[in-house]
Amino acid sequence: MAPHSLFSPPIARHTHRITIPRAVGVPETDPETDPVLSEAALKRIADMVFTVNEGNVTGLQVEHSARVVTRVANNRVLTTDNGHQIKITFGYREAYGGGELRFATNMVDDAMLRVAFRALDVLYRQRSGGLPSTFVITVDTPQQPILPVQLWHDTTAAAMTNAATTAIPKLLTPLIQSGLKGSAFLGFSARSVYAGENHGHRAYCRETDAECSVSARFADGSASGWFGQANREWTKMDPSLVAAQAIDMANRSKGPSAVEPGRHTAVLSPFAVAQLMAQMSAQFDAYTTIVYKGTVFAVDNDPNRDTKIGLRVIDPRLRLKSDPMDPEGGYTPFGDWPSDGWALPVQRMTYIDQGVLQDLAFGAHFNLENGKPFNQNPWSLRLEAMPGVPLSTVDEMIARCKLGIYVNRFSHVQTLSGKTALMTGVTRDGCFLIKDGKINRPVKNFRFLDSPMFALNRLLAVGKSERVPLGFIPSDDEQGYFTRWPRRPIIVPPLMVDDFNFSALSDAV
Amino acid sequence: MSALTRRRFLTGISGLAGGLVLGSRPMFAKGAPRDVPGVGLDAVLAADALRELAAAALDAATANGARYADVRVAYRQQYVINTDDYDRAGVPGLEASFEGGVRALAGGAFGCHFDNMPTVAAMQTAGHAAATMAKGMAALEGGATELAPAPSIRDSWVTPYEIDPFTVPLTEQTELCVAFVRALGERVPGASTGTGIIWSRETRVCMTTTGTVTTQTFLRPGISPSGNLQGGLTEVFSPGVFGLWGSRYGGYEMIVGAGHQDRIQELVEATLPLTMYPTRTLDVGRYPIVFDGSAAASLLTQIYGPAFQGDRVLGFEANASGTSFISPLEATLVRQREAPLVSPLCTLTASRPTEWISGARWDDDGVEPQPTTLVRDGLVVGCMSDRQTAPALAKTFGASGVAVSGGYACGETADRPPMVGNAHFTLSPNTKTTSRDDLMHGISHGVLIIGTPGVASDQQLASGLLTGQMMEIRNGKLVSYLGGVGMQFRSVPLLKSMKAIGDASTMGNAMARLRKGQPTQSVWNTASAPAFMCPAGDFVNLDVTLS
Repeated sequence: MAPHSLFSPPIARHTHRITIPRAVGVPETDPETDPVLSEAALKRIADMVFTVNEGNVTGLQVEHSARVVTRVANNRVLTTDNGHQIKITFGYREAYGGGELRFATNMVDDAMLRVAFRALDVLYRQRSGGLPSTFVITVDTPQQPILPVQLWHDTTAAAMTNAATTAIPKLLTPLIQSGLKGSAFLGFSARSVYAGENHGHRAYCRETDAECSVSARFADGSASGWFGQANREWTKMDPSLVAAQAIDMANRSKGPSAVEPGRHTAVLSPFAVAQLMAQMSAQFDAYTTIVYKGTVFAVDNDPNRDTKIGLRVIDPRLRLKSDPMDPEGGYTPFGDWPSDGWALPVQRMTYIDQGVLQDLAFGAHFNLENGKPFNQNPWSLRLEAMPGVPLSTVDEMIARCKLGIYVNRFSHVQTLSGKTALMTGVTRDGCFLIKDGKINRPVKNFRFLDSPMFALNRLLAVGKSERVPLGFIPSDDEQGYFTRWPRRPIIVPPLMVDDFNFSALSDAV
Repeated sequence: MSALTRRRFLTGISGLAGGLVLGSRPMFAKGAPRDVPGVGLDAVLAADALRELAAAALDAATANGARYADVRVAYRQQYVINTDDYDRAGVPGLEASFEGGVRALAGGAFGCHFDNMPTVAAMQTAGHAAATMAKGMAALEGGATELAPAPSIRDSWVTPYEIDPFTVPLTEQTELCVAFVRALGERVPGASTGTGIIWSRETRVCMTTTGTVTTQTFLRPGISPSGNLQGGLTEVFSPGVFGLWGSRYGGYEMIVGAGHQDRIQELVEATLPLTMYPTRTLDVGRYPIVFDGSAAASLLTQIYGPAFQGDRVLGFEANASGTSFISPLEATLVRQREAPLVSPLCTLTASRPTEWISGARWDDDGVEPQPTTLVRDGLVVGCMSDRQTAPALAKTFGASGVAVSGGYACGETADRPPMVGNAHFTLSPNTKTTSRDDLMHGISHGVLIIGTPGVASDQQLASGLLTGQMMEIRNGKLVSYLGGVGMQFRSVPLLKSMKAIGDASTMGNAMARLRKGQPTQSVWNTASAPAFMCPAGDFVNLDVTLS
């Protein structure tokens, strides 16, 4: 049967089933000390849901997430925010046909499920015979296997029970000694997720993550500095270093003066680049590009193409990838059932190679329409130099800059136009004038108004890519990937770009 | 006009309006018997059960050495109705969730722990763990956390509603959404491409070791239309009309009630003529600005209101959403001995009236919110506070007596530590007759900002870039729509330069969802403001083209 088309009249259901091999390489053991449930435990929950109302649950996702968070403000612990949640989302359809309903709950017991099924039955009987529904499609299409990933680190899981009491002093003590006002975030997270279809494929993954960041400010509010680290493995992080770097950045930022806004050469730290690239993830959505013509990769009024696939879109020295198996940027190798509608395997993707757009992300159902494997938008991405491209350190970039601005970090970045990726935001926690190859002096913060599609085409130099924390992001995408925690890793290099538009001064510190 | 019968909109309006037809099938008549069973999720966790769970958590916290503890537990149901892009029913559903969060104070430090299993054992574990964490953090503390005292309250409250949406058949609600999308699509090219309603009912109990037990049940719709329209209809239907629905508590009567349908028609009738203007660009430069009431209210929800959140002002959010343009507060209060911070025309208050989704009978500290004057005649005189921030703020303002919380403690969900948030902001209108046309009068070339523009701000809310619907004023009259234009502003100078303010007839409303905290939480702000005029705003060109 041909894949169901979004554009054809709605039909109730198809009957083919999808079969995907389960993940390989996932450990089967169930350590008692893990902060989240094991695969076996999640499977027991899933099987319970599948069997409580036999045959009517079409697919589900059960996940167990835990976090340990400590927040510091004004050199004191402000609060902790620790706990865990088990949540299940499942699709429901009566045996006699009709569209699907969804149910989600974090009260995972059979009493709640019985109430849920009674309620769904009420809705279902209201629904059937009413308006035609859209689709729940299962299509017999060959799929890629689920990629084996290594996202779990026992050191991070263990740190959830004891690291805060040892790490927090490493943040607090230098802040207090510096005479600055310090705020900090130290967070650990663990997550296990099990998803799949009744009588169909199943998938499981677990992950740990840690993030640490410090803001150091002068008491008079005149200057501030920031530094952060993020890693799935806690032992690779150093809170002392984070505090020291933030304090150093604050001290260097004391006494800023104003520089005329305008277009300047910009040396962007990886923190700043990450804030821009996080906003680019949605640009790779195939549906938004092809159907809505709403991204930078859409082509209007050309009978030969509707996307820029195959065209150069950024500097040829760059490539952009999203790979669940990325050693730094790896992520859950299958779809998020509640938001994607599937737990289908996610592919290793090179979206841009040598500056040329290679492909887009085809989400659930639209991928079937186009004969493409399923993929999520690259909420986790790696922007890096092509192999063989000479890399520059930040110091080297500064040394070759006659006149420019060094940006430690951007904040409050928002996309103003999807079609151009025009963004605005402000510099924060470290902004300096570069003159004749050296940092000349700290400057007042700027508002910027530019697009990465311009900036990445005015590339002067690129450095080594590394995972960096995003810190606070004020806006959110529809699926919450900007703000949901743990974050999807973003791996980016420092960049030196020409003619970056610092459109106005900002009074903010 | 008949209250709840489906009817033709905009009959008699010619041109682009044509008429919005929400289908030919009659809606149910008010008072008609409903023999459709509700979805029955209410029975899962009643208020008594929630209170029992809360008590278990508090007992465990105090048994483990907490000198004070409070807990918030909630049971939340959601009923999701939506359409897809092609006006067909989407995938609706239900959600039921329990959230429980304990905050314990021991040794002068807070510890917070949450759990989402509604069992006594789980809540006892959470209470015990919160106290353990507090004691651990106390050893690292550089000072004692002080809480403003609060009277003990034992009371309950439910948001008023007429029609329980959880009893309205799914088919009817879906038909309503689909009919709306179809009607709009027939009349306006590129109109809303999908819409949905999420009904949310939450019963939240707040209990403290000082004897407070508050039980509140909130019922509200969340409306989510989407789409871009040429001209003013976007403003009418999103967020104008949907702001009407999504910004207040209430039940299904909010969508089908006569008052609301009349309001929809009024908004459409008022806004459709604006779509007849040509679209032009604006040269980069500085122009006088008039903000209509909704645009002014938008600024309150996104900039001026949040700047007065006590935790932002005191630096609690420095590593997250940021501080405030009035931080450090001491310096601001000293500076304004010379001159008011903003225009003397500005008097800004915060409150939490219970008809708005930013409101509540009691906050998440168990305190009854009090209206708080933030700015009076241009002078900063107050901030929004909770029990944790009230003492420091009172000291800075030089208030005499015991500091009391303003009642603005809010956690997005019951399991999150409360922060200062959720408020309704009001900018006082002119007591003299001043219409929007009066504000535009005398402007030879300027800009009128209408609707609810988006505002991209910064970490101190000190500046921003405003985008949205703008119209060109020439000699006091509207002459065109402006495309590809944004306005850069600095928050304090903008409000300081306010030259004229409209009367009550120019009042508009707005709603905004902002994020703060780490991990982030949502804060819901609503606002009411009159139109106002400033002599100069900096306008930039946002119209860029990629090759």
